[in-house]
Amino acid sequence: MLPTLFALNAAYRLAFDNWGLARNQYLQYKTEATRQAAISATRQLLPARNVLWKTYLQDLRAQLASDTNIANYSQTTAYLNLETEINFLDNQDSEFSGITSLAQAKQLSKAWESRLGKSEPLSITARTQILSHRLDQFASRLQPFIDSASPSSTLDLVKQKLGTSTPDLKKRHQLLLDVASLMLQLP
Amino acid sequence: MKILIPVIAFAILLIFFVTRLPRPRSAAVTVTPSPTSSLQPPTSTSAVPTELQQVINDIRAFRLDDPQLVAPAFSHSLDIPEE
Repeated sequence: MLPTLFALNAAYRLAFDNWGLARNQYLQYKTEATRQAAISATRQLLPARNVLWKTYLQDLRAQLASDTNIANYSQTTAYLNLETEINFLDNQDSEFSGITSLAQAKQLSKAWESRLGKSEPLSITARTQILSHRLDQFASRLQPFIDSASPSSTLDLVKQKLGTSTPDLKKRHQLLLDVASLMLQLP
Repeated sequence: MKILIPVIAFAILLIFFVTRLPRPRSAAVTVTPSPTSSLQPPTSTSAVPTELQQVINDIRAFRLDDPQLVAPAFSHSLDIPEE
């Protein structure tokens, strides 16, 4: 987690704790003062959650751009979708600052959470593309050493492992680890 | 006895001059090993990873759960009370 995101995460935690306290007091006493305190705490919490998620998506977008250079269609699509989500979250800030009732806060929160159902898979896609690209880069960096190696059964095994195509990142990383060990055994 | 007198006189004179001679100063000597000296530390080649070793190190250090990419945790369903 990047430093900015770390700080925002801490701010969200604090806002969440304050909100939990205000919420419980309102449910317990149901007075106007506790109601106002609960509204105020919710007005703090929703933007804190919003900015936390927005910053994470911005970081992912930046990482996707710097790592992959948005070189293919799926990366371009992920980048543009992240852009759309970030713009949506940008607009939420003004909505949250205008909250005057718990009913309104509840409605806005539900809408935001419903949007998360689309936003979260997108973040997973972007993360997968970044990691997948990094694994591809390792394979590319190994290629010159494979090309210049003398023929051997170990080299055949290296080529076989590198040629294995699987979308599973864990398996791909394991294959690269195997290749790395084999490369050290090449004559 | 007549012979002993010049011998003793010579010995006394010898001791006198020897004690008057300036003492050699202790000089600080700094020894720098010559470029061909075997005492020089050998230039280590193993400390600098080869290009291949660097790639291998990077693969081994690679993490699928890169902390920079991990999503922050937050409530996905806030239970905001009814009024």
